[in-house]
Amino acid sequence: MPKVVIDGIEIEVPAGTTVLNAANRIGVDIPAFCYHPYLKPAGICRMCLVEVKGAPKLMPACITEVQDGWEIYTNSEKVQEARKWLLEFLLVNHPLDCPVCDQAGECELQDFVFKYGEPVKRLHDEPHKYPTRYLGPLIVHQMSRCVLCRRCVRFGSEVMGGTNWGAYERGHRTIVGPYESETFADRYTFNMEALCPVGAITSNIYRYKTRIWKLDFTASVCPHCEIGCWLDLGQRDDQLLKIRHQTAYPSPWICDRGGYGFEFANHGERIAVPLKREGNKLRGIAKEESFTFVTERLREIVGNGGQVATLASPHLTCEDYLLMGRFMREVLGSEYVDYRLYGEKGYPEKPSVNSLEDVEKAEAYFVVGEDVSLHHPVLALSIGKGCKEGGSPLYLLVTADSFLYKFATVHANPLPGWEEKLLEALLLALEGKEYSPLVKGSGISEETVKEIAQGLEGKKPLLLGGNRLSPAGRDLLKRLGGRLNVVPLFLDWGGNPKGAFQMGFWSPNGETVEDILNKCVSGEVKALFVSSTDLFRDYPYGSLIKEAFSNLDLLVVHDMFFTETVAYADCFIPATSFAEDGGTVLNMFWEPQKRKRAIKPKGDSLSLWQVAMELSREWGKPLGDFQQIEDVSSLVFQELSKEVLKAPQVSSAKEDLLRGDIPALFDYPFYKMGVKMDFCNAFVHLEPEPWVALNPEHAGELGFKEGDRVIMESDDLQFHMKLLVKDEVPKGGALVSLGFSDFPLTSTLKGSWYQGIRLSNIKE
Amino acid sequence: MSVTTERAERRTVTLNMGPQHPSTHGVLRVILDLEGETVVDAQPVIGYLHRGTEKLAESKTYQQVIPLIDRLDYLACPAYNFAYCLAVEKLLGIKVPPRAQYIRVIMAELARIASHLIWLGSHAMDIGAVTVFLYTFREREITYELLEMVAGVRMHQSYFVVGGVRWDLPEAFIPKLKAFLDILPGKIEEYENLLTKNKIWKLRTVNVGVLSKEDAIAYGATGPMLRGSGLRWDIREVYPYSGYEQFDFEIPTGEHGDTYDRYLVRMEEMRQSRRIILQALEGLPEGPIHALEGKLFFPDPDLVRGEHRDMAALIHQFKLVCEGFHAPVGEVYQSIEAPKGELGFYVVGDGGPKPFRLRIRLPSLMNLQTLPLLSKGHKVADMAAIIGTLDIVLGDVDK
Repeated sequence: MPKVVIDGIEIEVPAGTTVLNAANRIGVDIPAFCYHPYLKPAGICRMCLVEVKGAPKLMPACITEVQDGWEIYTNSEKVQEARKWLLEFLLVNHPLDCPVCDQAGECELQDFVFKYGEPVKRLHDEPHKYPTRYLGPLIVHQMSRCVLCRRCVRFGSEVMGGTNWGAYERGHRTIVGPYESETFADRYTFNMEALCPVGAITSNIYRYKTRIWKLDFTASVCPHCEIGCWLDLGQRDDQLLKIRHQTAYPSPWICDRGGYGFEFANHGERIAVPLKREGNKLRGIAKEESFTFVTERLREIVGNGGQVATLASPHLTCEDYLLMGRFMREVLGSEYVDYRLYGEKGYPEKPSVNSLEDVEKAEAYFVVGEDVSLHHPVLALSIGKGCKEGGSPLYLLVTADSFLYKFATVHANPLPGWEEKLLEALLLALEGKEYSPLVKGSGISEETVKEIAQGLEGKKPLLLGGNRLSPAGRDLLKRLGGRLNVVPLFLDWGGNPKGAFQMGFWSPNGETVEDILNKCVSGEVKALFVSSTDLFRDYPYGSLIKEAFSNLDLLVVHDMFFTETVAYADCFIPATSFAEDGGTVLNMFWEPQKRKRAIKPKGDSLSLWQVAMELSREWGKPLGDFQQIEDVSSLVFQELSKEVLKAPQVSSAKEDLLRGDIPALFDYPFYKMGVKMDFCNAFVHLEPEPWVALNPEHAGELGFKEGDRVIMESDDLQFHMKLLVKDEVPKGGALVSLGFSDFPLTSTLKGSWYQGIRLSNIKE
Repeated sequence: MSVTTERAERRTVTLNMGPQHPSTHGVLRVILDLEGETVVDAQPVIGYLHRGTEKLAESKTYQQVIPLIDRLDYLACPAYNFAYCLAVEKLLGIKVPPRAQYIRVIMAELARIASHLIWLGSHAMDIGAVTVFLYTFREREITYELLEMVAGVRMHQSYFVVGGVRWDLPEAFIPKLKAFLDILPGKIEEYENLLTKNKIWKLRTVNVGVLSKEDAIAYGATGPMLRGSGLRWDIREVYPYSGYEQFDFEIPTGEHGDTYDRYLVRMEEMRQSRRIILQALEGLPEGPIHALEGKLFFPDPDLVRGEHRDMAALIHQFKLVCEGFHAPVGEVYQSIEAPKGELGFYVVGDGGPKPFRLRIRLPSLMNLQTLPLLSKGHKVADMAAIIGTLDIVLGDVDK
């Protein structure tokens, strides 16, 4: 191991360590713009120049590897001069924007100039100016402020595997930015903004809101998916204004939903008072009155032998599931509770890996049944890293994958609904049996299946079962895992499905949400609680919900906004957002994470556990005297310390194939998947209207082109939509966007995300 | 019952003096135990003007603390800024350029003259010589005009900044200062004519409030209080700072440690201050007035906005306003000879832009401790003379 002396301190470091990393180990600070611990060193900015005794020139610390016996000076006169001049050059064209720049206060250029630079520059010339580019609702790019460190460009190529963002032109005239469009929102945009050391890329959402040092940051956990990225919520005057992600765990990167999907917490349309139905109107009432009203009605219904059910969003905390579950069982004597509101039929299973780092280390990857970057964006980056840096092959058996295909060794893009059949074919191929009948009509050739089988044979791949996989599909993947001696990793919908499962928030007899809704229709269930979800938007069986609601005696909705579901409610109780509740979530690696309350609850908003507590008290059988979330959390941790619960048997009946001309997959666009995305203004601008997407070739054959208005017909329902042309859609199939709450696309679905559709031009 | 007996035996009366009393120079309250007219005990009660300067400083940047320091002894602000800035500069390990050092000396000595003039006027008036008050305030007005010329305000100048002084001396200042120094000896003579050999003055001050040299040391008295008792101790001489070693001046001392001797010491100090200022004006060097130009104090406003604006200057301005400069980890103590005695600042830096702890050793607070000792055995009427001779300012007592 080479021994070096840095500023008089001796240190022994492993061979191959760079000067900058060696200096960091002993707490010697070397300034740098382009260096970032989670990007590859580039040696671009020259801010990190250090003096090595005996070397004629200064050396860039971030790319120079230490050699035995080196004497390094990081603060010698020569180094100080170099830094001064470098900063002076950087300031030649820099606009005088500090007073209006959102980065000011956390700007590395400011910090370095103040620390290492001269207070006056010598060249006074008209600065070279570039126009400000408003790149869509997420980011603003101001080239004039750029120091050309290329962190954003390197993130795009190294981590994302290429995106519409690059550096062109040369020298000091280099321009950074998107080259295909004037809008940039590519799922991981937040990281580019966070990586930018200066104010060249700034958030459009945070633009001119407040100064960074005026914000109070609270540690929280992202509510949108089950990866559980740590977020720092920046709050001022109980307004959530900015999110930071400053931990390397679970991943140094987060997605745009985590970084920008918080606006709903401050949304002006939030209802902060309880409402009660009076004829056709919902009238605001006092908090106490709402509890009395609900309890009285419940007493009536339960007294007459009616059942009560609760459907709660999978994005809530363990505390919510625990107390609401106990309220339902112990007080109302009902077992009908469920959280699987995206229509999945299986239950979570204990994962086979413990962290995203383990995912990165896998020998090979096989992904089936989910566009991973859409539903678990950060996981997709980890798979990408494993492929790119670890050289592991990636086999995709995913309909309309929009991101991971960049890293894929074999990319099978079957028609919607064929993933599970092909999985079966793959299993047969591995066993050396005849599988061609299963492949026929899927849009995938037999060779592709064979190629995947050969690739997986003899390896220990990470098998990823996506959230679209039915229980039957999961069984198939488990059988595949059995052959390869690995345990598959199953992904679920929602932000805390594992927590909801472990808290026992499901019916022990194995009833699914569909069964519960059917019981509403049949009249067995007379009262229904719906928490923090718009069933019409998210549950893929619109007609059933409508029927169920019309047969209910009491519908209580606990939510933040006035949604379609609330329109049917007899009583509305305002809910808190993820920034206001605090509580425990269980991430996809079955690891509990505590999120803290960042802002005060708006108005009378209550968390679901508080609602359960209040109702039980009103009922006369209090669940306990819980003053604050911590009292409940201790109960949650007792539950979490228990063995993983045993899920009931689920029917693994295979689903029918689709009717209609074009088999279509109904899935959320990236900026629509998660908690209350309809109320994040930036995302509304990114996904303004629903669309149906076709493969370019297919669209050409049918005579459609990008942007056409078409009629989508399905199950006797007609929708006017925009037609998009997307490469990732398999030829012959279609992709339809879900998640537009004013657009009841779920009413065409029958409990699955696949449906046959017909397309025709709108006749003038 | 027992209380009455005790009282009867001691035969004392407790009398409250202040906190609203013209001769207590502010909001000082003294609880007097009297046996007839004679003072048996006098206990000062302080804290009526407490503003929490030390705690407030912990939440302000090093530069932002300066206006708070102004409000300690509001009659000699430059001296107080001086001590604080020297302490922070010691923590930073920087040296102030010579011109700034000289300007600081001029301002501090001018402040000493101003402070002593006010002391003399009010002290004499407390004892009964109202005329002196009118005369000293005539000259005191000139000193305040001079301070205003430099800093823009009469009181709370905040003219010193860490690393130098806020801006350079205005052109008209030096001639006006010289003119003032020319007339000052004559004026001091005028006051002395009124007091020094005045029989009433002597009756009221000689052998009143005697502080022995040993007691003065034991009580931690400093400044004229200590020198009046005969000890030659002046921080400017024993631990010179800001170039005081370059100036030639005498340190007057008394013999008996009574009110009269302290009066003589302070009168002589004004003359010596005049000498120092004259020497400083003589040798006032040219050159910069800030150490580490731009890193500790704001750049020239013309560089931040307007035609000649400059990005580097703007960044420095922004960082200094919004964050402040960072001082290293460490702790320092720096004291100076303020008009009222030894003024010391103990500053602890934690590497950030705000002091982790600021402890102030205030001369008035320390000197006030001698009040019970000085007043014991004197008549109630002498309390005015004794409080006056302490030369306290309550801002300087209560922090």
